[in-house]
Amino acid sequence: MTLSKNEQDHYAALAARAENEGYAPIEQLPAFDAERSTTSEELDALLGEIGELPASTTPAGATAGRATEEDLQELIALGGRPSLSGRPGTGPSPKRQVRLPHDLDALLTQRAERDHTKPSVIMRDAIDAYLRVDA
Amino acid sequence: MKWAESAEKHYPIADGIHAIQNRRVFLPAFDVDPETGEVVDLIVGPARDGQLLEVFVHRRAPRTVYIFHVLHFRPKTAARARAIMTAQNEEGKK
Repeated sequence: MTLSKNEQDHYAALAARAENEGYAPIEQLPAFDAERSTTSEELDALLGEIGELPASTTPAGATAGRATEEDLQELIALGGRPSLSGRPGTGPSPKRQVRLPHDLDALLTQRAERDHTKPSVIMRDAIDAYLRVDA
Repeated sequence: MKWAESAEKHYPIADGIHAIQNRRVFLPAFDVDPETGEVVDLIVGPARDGQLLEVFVHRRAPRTVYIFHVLHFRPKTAARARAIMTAQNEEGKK
């Protein structure tokens, strides 16, 4: 982490703005622009460059004032899922259906539960890692 | 990818990174930086223990993403994201 004091101050102010929920009016938000926003592909590439993180444990966090899984599902239904092609508005992502042996399916389920993620995320990551090695 | 000290105010950065790795909602241009006019993107995903987090990131060309806010996923964040997406969907129908 090599942020300058000015950058730290800038982000401290932005974080305070976020905590106070003092955002810009929605009408003033720009349309999506890949030059200005990150994309899912870029995030994945950057995540792959992160080294080992300091050991830590997750705090319990706030007990009240939390959005719910239902809130999240509503956003997903509105189209807030990460665009698999990296950009919103590119239409539905292609789907593939595969059959798995029971033991592999059980391993997949266990891993998804352990990592608090979905089996589809693990399968996508695994295929991506397998196919892009020599790409 | 870099993170500011403000990103670790409430959760260790490992939880913010985990939420991004396992993101379930990604909404570009959730807010605009009032100082620079650059956009802030929203990511919602799980902490390592499964609790839902909201993560705000700021992208700067070329190819640097700064994490500056990691907090439990709040109702007002959900409401604003819902309003933005609804407006985008309405705009897309025109």
